Amino acid sequence: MPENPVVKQMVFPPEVLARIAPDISLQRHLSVGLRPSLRGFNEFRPMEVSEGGLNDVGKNNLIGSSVVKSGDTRVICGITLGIVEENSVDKILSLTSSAEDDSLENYSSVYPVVDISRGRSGAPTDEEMILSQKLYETILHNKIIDNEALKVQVGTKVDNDIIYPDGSGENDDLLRPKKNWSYTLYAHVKVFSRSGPLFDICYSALIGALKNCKIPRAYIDDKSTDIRIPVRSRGNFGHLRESYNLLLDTNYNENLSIKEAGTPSSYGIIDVEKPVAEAGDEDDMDVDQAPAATTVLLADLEGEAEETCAVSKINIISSKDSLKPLKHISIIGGGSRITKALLKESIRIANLRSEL
Amino acid sequence: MNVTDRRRLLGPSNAKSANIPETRTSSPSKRSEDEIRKMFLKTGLVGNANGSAYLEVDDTIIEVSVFGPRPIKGSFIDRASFSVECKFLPHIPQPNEETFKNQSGSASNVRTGLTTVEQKLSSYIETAFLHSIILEKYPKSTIDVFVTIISADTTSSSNKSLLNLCNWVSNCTSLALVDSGIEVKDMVTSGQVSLNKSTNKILMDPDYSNNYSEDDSVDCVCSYMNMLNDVVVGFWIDGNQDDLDEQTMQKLFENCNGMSKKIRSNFNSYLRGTIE
Repeated sequence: MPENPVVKQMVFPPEVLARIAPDISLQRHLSVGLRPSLRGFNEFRPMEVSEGGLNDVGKNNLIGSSVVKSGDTRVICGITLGIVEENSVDKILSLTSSAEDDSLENYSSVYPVVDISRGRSGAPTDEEMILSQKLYETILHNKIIDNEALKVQVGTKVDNDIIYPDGSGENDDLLRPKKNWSYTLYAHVKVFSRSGPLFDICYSALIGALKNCKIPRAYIDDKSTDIRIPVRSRGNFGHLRESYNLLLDTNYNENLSIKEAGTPSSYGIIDVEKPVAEAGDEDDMDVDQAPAATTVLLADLEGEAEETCAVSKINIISSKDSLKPLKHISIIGGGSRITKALLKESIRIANLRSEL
Repeated sequence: MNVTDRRRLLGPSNAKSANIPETRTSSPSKRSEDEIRKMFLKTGLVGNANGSAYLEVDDTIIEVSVFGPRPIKGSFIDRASFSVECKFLPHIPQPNEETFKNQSGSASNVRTGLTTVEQKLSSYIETAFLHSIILEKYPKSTIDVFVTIISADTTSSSNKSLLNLCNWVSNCTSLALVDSGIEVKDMVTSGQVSLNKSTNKILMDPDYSNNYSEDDSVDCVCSYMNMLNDVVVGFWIDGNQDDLDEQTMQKLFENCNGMSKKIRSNFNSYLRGTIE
């Protein structure tokens, strides 16, 4: 009878094991109290936000920008402007219905498009779409940008002078158009060298760019006027209406006033198998003796292994305000159990970070 | 008709774009005619690419990532396929963009697909580098180059500033290829010059943002493999091309070659520095 083939134990160097069995490699790291990136469990990567780096370069349409660096990851965020004519009917309705000052209708957000460079072209990925939407919602619900801040101060150009309504005061009402306009903010967020979940870094980039946004005034060129031309065609009546030609006046720039945005912190939660008792030798293959697992909090996930293994996640945005420190919290379960103690710990660390 | 893009957040549909008018006034440059602007180089910044390079020259900022050789699915091919995609960040205005812009995509935070300008740049880089890469070494794989223009001084009407951008993009790409370790016959470097037809003077690396708008100039970018007998792998001529004769071409090419050699020697010393 042929002998049973001897199963030889295979040995891989750590970096190979990390590629072929990320989960095992991660567990081995965590069981000795280290992460693959050699950070501590609660250690965040430092984040370097430089605001306004791109505003003065080249001929671009940016009104605000930021470049953020965290670990290897770099994020470039640029903010541009659009103009929307306000619907006066909506405005009257909203004035009568919502008396509260703090309702969501009084706040705006930016429209971000996140673009992660990963060597592929084509339609945006799920991650990019979800991240863009989440950034939009978070900024809106954190009530960072007041609608008032985005109102267009419309002036009128008369003989090369631009008269603004808050100016001399005499001809204010005479020259002021009946229509109202407001700005919309667009953001483009370009990510290089992604190495983990991106919400924290993108949020910081967006807030950094918003902080140095310069909102210009706009004026109506005297060439265009408000003309209504009645049109009749095949029994239908209508009006052709010439719209105002709004031009931006970059000589007047006001900083966009934004409210406190808070500091984002994100965590992954993962079970760590306790190392088999020190006494047991290495090739102990006893399966019955299941090692007791502890659940730990990993701050600021990095690398493929951590991202795939830590399914449960917590996202917190906390502010300096000591009365209402929590601005946003999202909890995604499905992996390890998120206990009350873990949640408390994550909030404690997030609050500590916001105080820095 | 374009169907509304539901994958991206484009904001309200009735928004109009608000472009900030040009207000910059710049002083004429104090460089001598054959002086190249100072540049900042850095390779290997992008972690998840096989090779990358970052370059800053004045207001031009370019990032190039090389992905590959990556395996392809499907049938066997005996040499690697090579592709280049060159994109501007969406807020940077491109020459003649207004003419080709489709009205539906008015939001200024997104550009889907490649514009004609981006296609032109991509195809220049692709043809110039195709000759230098030893594709036979990488069967059944692809090599993809992604160029991101983070900032550029492209004037709105003239194509000439594109030539200068094209020059720096090709130089940056060649550094990124070296960083990726893909085998090449030689590095490709380029030069870009402008010949003023009335004064017959050559200007190296002209700064088009500095109100440099001589209508009567012919401009040329030309790419070489300098260590391989100065083989020309690509050129692009723009500007006033009336009565373009052999003599003028000779002059343009000679000066481009001179500039490309200067850049090559700079790159060589940079790369030597990265090894040490």
